[in-house]
Amino acid sequence: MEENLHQQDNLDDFVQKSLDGYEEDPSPGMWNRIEGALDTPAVQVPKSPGLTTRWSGNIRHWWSVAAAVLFVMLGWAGICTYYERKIIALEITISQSNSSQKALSPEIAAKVTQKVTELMAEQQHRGDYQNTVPPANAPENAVIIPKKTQKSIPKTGGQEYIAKPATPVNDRTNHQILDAKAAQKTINAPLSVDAATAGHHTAEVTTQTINNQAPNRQTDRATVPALQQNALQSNHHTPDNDPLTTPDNNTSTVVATHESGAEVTTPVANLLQSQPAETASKKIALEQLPGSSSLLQVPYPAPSAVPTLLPVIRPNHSGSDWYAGLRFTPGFIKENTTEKPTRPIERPVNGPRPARSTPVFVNESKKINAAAEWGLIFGKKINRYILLETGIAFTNLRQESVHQARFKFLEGRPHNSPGSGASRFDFDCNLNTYGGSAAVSLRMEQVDNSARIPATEPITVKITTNQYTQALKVPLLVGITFGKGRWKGVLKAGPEGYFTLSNQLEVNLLSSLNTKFQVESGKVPQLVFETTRRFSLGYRAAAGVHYRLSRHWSAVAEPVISGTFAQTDHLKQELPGIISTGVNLGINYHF
Amino acid sequence: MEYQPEIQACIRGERLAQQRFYERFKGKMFALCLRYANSREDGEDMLQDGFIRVFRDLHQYTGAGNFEGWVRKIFVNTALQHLQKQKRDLIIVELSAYEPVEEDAPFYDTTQPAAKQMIQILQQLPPGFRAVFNLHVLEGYTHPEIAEILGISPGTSKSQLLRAKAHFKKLLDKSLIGN
Repeated sequence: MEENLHQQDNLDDFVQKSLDGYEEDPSPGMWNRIEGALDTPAVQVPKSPGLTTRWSGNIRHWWSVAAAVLFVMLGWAGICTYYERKIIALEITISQSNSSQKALSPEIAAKVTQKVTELMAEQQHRGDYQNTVPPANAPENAVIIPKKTQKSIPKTGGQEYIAKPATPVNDRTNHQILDAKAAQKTINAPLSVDAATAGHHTAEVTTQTINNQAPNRQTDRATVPALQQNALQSNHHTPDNDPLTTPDNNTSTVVATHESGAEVTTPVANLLQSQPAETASKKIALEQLPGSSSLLQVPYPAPSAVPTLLPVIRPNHSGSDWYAGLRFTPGFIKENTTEKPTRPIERPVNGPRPARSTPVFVNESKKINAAAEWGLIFGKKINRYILLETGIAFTNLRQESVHQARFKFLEGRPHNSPGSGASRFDFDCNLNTYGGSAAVSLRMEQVDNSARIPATEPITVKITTNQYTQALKVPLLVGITFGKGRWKGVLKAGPEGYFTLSNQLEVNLLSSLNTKFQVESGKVPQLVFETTRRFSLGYRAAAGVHYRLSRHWSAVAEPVISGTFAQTDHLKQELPGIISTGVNLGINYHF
Repeated sequence: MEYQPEIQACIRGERLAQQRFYERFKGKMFALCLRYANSREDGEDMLQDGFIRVFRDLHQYTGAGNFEGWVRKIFVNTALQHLQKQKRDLIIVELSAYEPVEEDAPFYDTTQPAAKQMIQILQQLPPGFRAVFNLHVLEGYTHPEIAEILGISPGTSKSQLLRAKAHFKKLLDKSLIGN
C-alpha cells in the first residue's frame, strides 16, 4: 500500500482505486431492524434540508423571525396610531365642551364688547400711537407696547414716579414685549415707593423673570404722576379677585400704557386672548376700566365674535411620550416540571426497541439556576395612565437538571459485544426539557454475571444534564402607571415571543441506583436531541417603580416574572415550559 | 428497466421483495455510509435510515437515469443529514468519570484490505472535512455543487477540501509510520 501511495501522486486516484467496488456487509440483524422500523407507524420527521435545500431551511427560519418581528412592529404602530387618534378626538371633545360651558355670560360678553368698541373709538380719536405688528419672536400671548409711549413722561406738581416695567423682552424693533406670565407677575409684584427722594417719590416696580426668554436691556424709566399712583395700584387685579379672569394661569394679561406714560397692567385682556388667530394689534383707551384711564394696545378678537374665556384644556399628559431604555435582568429560571408524564414517541437510538420494551419518560427534579437577560425596550405613554412597551432581549440560559430514569430489566435490549464477558443491555429513555426532547440510550452492565435477574427488576439511573440555550425575547406589554412627582409605580403585563437561537444538551453524569447493574464504564450514552420549536409564546408581567432623574432620564426597578407555555418539539412531543423570575434594572430615555 | 419488477413489488410493500432489494444493495450502500460515518454503529444507523427512505420514496423514481445512482443519491443525502444533525444536535459526551475504552480495531491494520483502512482513516477526519472529501473525491461533485449541498461558498469548499486532503495525508503517513 505504501508503495502504491508513492507510485501515485494523485491522492484522489489512490483513494478512489482503494475504495473502488468495495462492499461491506452490515451486522446480521440489520434487516430485522429495517423491517421493524418499516412496521412501526411512520413518524412525522421534520423536513430536513437535503441536497438541494440545505440553505432554504436556515433562510426560512430567519425569514420567519423577521416576519414575526415585523408583525409585532406593525401591530405596535397600529395600536399607537389608533390611540393617538382617540386622544386627539378626546381633546377636541374636551375643548368644545369647555368652550360651550365656560363662554362669557351674556352680560359680561356684552360689557366686554362695548368696552372694546369704546377703546377702538378712543384709539382712533387720539391717533398718537402707531400701529404695531407683532414681531416674529413675540410670545404667543405677548402684548405690544410702542416704546414711544414709555418716554413721554410728563411731570405733575414737581413730583414724579419712576417706574421700571418688569423684565420686558425687547425685540429689535421699537417694541417692548411682555409675555403673559411676565405681565401677570408684574401685576402681582409689590410696588415700592421711595419717599426719601426730595420732592419726588420714586417707585420701582420690581418683578421676576419667569419666562424662558432672556430679558434684554431695559433701563427705560417712566415717570408717573403722583396723582396716578392710586390708579396704578388699583389697576393691579389679581386673578382671584377679578371676576373676568379665568382660573387658568396660562392666559395673557394686558399691559396698558398709562396716559401719562407709565405702564399699567391688567388681566382684563384675558378676556380678549382666547382667539389668537383672529387678533389684531390695536390701541385702546381704558378710561372706563376700574382705576385707569390708560391706553391699551391688545390683541383681541373681532368684535362681532363673543370671545371665549378659557383656552383649550388639554390633558396633563401630551399623549405622545415615547421612550427607550436599556434593561439588565438578573434572575432565576426553573422548568415547569410535568409530574404526569405522557407516553413518549418511539425514537430508537440504536434500532427498534424490543416489543416488550416501553420507552421511559423522564422529567423530574429540576434545579433552579441563575439566568441573565439584556434588553432594549421601546415604549410610549398613551395617556397619563396607560403605556405600551415592546423591545428585544437576549437571554443566555444554563439549566442543570437531574433526571431519574426508571426501567425494568425486561425493557433492556441485550447488547453482545465481542470481548465482553459481562451481560450488557441498552436502555432507552426520553429526557424532556424546555429546550427539546432527547432520546437517550444508556448501556448498563450486570455487576454479577452469574446472578439471575428477574424480568421486573427495577433499574434506576440518575442522569444529570446541562442545557445551554440562547434566545431572543420580544415582549408586547400593556402597562398602567400611577403616582405623582418623581416616583411612579408601573404595572405591566403581556405576551412575549421567544425565539431560540441555539440549544444544546449535555449529559454530565450517570450513576446507577441499582446494585445489580451499573453504567458500563467507558461507554458514553448515545443521545439524539430534538430541539424545541424555534418560536414559542410566553408571557411576562412586571411591577415596579420608575424614578425620574431628570427631564429625559429615569431609572427603573421592576420585579418581573416571565415564562413560556408548554410547547412541543418537531415530533409533537409535549415539553415542559420554563418560568423565570428576576428584577428589571435599567434606565429610560424620554424623548 | 433492470429493477422494475422488484421496484413495483417493493412499492406494494411486499416484504420479501424489499428484503431482496436490501440484500442486493446492502454491501455497496453500507460501504458508502461507512465513509461518512463516525463509526460502524453510526454507519448502520445511516444504512437503516437510507433503506427506509428508499422504500418510502421508491414510487418517486420515474425510471429516468441509473437506478443505482438514484439509490446512491438517497444514501448520500441521508448520510449528510446525519452529519448535519450530529453537528447541530447530536452530542455524544465523553464522561470524565470514565476512561475511554478502545472497542474498535487498531487504527491501521495491514492485514485488512486497503479499502477498510481507507474508511478507518476517513472516519478520523472531522465531519466537515469528511463530507467535502467524500463528495468531491468519491462522489464526483464539483465545488459549486458541494457549496449548494452543504450551504457553504465554493471558496470554502475548495479550502476545506485542501485542508481535508492535507489532514488525510497526515493521518495516512502516521498510520504507515506506525506500522
